[in-house]
Amino acid sequence: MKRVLLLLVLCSIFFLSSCGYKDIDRRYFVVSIGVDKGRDDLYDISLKLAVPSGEVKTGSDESKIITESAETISEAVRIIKSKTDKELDFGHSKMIIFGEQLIKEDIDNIVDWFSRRRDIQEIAWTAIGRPNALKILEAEPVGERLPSNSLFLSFGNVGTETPYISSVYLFELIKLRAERGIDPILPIIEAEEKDYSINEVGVFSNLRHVLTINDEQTKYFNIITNDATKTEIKAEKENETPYFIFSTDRVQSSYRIDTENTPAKIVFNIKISGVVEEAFDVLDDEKKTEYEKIIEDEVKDHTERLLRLFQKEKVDPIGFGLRYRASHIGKEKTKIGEWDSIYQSANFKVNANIQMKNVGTIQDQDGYPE
Amino acid sequence: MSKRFIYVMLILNMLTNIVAFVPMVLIENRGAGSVQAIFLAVPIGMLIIYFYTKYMSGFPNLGLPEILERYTPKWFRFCFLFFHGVLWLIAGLVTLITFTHISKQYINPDIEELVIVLLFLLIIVFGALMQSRNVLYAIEIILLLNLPFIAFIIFKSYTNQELIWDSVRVAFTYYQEIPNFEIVSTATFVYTGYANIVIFNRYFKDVKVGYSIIIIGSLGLFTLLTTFIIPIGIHGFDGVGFYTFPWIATTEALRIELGFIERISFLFLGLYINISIASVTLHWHVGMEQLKAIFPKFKRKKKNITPIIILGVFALLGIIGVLFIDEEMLGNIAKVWMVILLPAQLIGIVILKVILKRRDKLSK
Amino acid sequence: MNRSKEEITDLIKNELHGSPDLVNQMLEANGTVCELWYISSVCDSEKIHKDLYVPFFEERDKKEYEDYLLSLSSIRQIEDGDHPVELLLRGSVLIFLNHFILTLEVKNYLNKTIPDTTIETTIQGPQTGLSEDLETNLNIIRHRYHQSSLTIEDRKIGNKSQMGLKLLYDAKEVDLEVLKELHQRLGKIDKDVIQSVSQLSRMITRHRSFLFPTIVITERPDRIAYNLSKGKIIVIMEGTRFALILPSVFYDFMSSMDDLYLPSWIAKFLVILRYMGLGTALLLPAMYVGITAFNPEFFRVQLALSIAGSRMSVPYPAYIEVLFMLIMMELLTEASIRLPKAIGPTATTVGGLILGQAATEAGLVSNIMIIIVSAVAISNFVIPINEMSFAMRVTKYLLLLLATFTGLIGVIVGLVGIIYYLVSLNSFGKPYLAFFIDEQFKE
Repeated sequence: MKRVLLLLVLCSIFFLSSCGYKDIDRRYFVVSIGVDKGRDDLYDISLKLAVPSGEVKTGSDESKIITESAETISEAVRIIKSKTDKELDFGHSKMIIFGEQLIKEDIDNIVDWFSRRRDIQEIAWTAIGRPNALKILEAEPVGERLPSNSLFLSFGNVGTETPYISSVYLFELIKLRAERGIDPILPIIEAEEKDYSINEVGVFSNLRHVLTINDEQTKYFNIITNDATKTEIKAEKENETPYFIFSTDRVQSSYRIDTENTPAKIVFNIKISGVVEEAFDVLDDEKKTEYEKIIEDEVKDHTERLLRLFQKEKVDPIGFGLRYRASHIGKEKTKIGEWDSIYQSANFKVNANIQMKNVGTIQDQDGYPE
Repeated sequence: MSKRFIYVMLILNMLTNIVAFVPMVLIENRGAGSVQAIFLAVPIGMLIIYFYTKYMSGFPNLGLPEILERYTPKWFRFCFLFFHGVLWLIAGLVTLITFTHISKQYINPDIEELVIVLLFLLIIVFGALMQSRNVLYAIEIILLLNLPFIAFIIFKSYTNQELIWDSVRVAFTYYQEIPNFEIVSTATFVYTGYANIVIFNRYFKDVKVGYSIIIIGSLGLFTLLTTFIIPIGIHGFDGVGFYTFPWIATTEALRIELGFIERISFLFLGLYINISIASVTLHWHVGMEQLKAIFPKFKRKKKNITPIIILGVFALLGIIGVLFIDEEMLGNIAKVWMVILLPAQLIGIVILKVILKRRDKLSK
Repeated sequence: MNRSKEEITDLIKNELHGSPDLVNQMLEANGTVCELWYISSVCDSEKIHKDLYVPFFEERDKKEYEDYLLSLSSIRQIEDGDHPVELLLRGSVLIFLNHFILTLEVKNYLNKTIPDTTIETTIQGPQTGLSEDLETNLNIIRHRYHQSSLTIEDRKIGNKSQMGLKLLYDAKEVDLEVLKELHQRLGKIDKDVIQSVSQLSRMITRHRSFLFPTIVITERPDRIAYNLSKGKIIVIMEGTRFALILPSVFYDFMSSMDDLYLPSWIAKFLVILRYMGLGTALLLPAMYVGITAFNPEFFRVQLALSIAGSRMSVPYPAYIEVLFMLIMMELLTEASIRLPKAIGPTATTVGGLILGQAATEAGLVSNIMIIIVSAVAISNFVIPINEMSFAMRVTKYLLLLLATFTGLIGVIVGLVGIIYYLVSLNSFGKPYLAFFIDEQFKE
């Protein structure tokens, strides 16, 4: 009797539904998504689909790009679904690119769509595409084992480790869009022939692109936000000829906001240690402190200029506002209001502390042995 | 029986609460007293555990139904056990419904909720029908299997580079806000694992905790802080309020670069389903045992089938709940339940003390 | 003593009239008559000759022969409780001398060989197992466990086959509750023929544990001795070279004697390896179906794409593919038990090449599937005790079924379900699965 009951219960489960079984070869994996501004206020959504190949050993970077224009993203995706024979699976979308024209306006609702879909990974990389997202998706660098693999590897220090690339996760973008006191940033990918390069960063204010910083500035931005390890800093002589290149090993940066006196002071303490990588002149071990001072000045100069640029453009990607909120008591709205006025007139001071471990692997020696 | 099972119950409760209702309330009130509530909950919880176990130790090898049968009038026992049984039923029910919703949303959106809840119920009812001793063993094993992974994930989340500690500090600038009763009661919920002793005391001679209360207190504090800090740090002080399940969204944001799987969220979900099934089994077992003591025994073929009937009712309520209760209603039920909880625990302690006094007077 | 010689002789002739190997020998000399009755196929004729015939004709006096007989070891007079025919059937000889009715055990058991262990082997431990004769087994076991408290109980089982059974335990360590329970259950058995000790174990376990074994079956004397010292009860039966060890808990099935013979860290490593094998064997097929058909975002993107690529040529859904390969593997395993030795190697080639390579080439299964199935097949046999290994073979189909219908949720629920089921089993009153077992035993 008991067994019959049990069987009945189990069988009734089977009658209920199809339960979402879909084989893996009936799905198309969307590896990257591009959002562009189309004509007439429409969005151009491009999806790059990975096409699996039977050759398991070599892998293939065969892919298919489908673009569609519609008023909202959901509509566009739905139209694209009807154009493919297999089910679209967003579970592996790891790259989201916004076109450069698009971000000139507020992209709040676009980011909102991404945050609501539970199947798009929150750890997807986000970026700006120049001239537009479609061109970046179309780029097919040589040696890619899967579609968009080189884009995946470029970010997050997974593949290449360089301070010129800022990596921003989707969840970070969503977080920064809401968090008051810190402004979102996105790296800019520039299309070049069949390849692309990433070395600039766009800063947003209220989800509208207001400022682009170039590669040098990006490097220093990553240094002060503790995101860079393998950097190099160029030291120049008075006549602007290169003197030596200092390669950094460890970068530690912290800051303090001092609001007691007006105008407020923001003090940065940067500690860098490293070695000399390339020298254009004979370097002397004795003069180490002198070389350190040169680098320190270099760092101070660039950093202060960058901070002042941010201040002028009224953006705050480093998060000084958030720090202010974190160290003062009161209602959030009041704090933000206070900080807005303080920030405008704040002064920046950068203290750099450089430690040169030795003057490279080569010891510059005076002359040769006799 | 070894006292470590008390710790098993406590830790199970703490773990379930990292995802369930506690973060919901704490994060909702992150600018209105959650910080103080967290720190207040620690001494309150420790005191409650200390006194409850002390008084329960006065009744070796007796469960609450037996204690009430010996020393209190019948009507009182009836009402109290009924009330208690319903409390435990609701605890399990809310966890179950929350879990079904999470599973449907994050793991398999195409499946019908009815199928998910039937699957869970099959296992839970089977588990709750086991002997009490076996329930404890099962829970211990499930906890020990899942704990290392959960500890690893929590560790990974603390050391995540994307966690902005400034956002957390913003939350802590509100330390001066006085919390209301709801928040304090919710925060003390992490310590309520001990309450299952009402049934399991039948196996223990003495459940006093002694100095290990300090460890329990710190673990609870750590749980509360983790449940509060990590979502705020990862999603921002302002942004974290957008999510229905802040902790699941947090694990979605974690990534192991060099691991076998990249996204931690699936691993976390799997572990959590395990822990929740164990938790609901425990709660419904305790609830069923208490209700069993006040209902008449139905016999069929010389076997007592009252437990099956009671659990059948529980299961039916579970199915109805999944089909008809939505997130908001669920949240409200959970909040009301947690507000009742703290006073209920205090009343429980007082009653135990009164019974103890009465018994000592009678024996003199 | 109350039965007369005529009564007994008539009884014997009646009951054994269909046995041509019944021998009735009359020894006559010097006026003394001695009648011998025995069944030649079960008796050691040499011993009869040496102990009974020769001395008979050597003694002068019948009194001397009588004394000689009565002083022989293992000779005794017939008692009321003895059943003469049964004695004959068990290899005793009935001696009618004057007014004495004596019986002497001259059993000849031809199958006394002590084989090497084949089912449960270790690397550095003892290599011989038990034999099929009860006395030899007792010999082996006693040599390994020199304790005076080693108690042996005799029983007979099977209404028609009447196999001899011996229960061994250390009276100082044994749990009396379990012993009582065992006696009860043995008493309830009502079958005609019981041929092996595994059949016996089926009959004394509760109906509830229909899938997982609760009694360890072993052929190793060192395991027996070890378990005796821990207070377990051993059951050996005539005619089989396996013994039962009860009560047994889950860990006993996952432990091998090697754990005691190898250095402790290596032993721990091996234990972990075994559990990993258990996990793989149970979960791999179910996880494959669950992940590829329900949640392919679980894997890294490279892996997902290569699985998709390798499945491109397969015409049917993933779960059929998995089921097909698993059934093939099961058929192979079953067949290899019964293969005649001459065909053995051919079968391995067939299995390996054809099922593996050719199936992939023909597009019937994907590459990944081959690897998964071989991993599952291999890791299944990492489990030391056979019965548990079989149980896991069946359980994985259950998990596969759950995965097919409900995806990963089903797998997780199935795992918890298995844990609950194992915990709810009892081995003779002892909990089957609990974490710190020794403590539970001490209660």
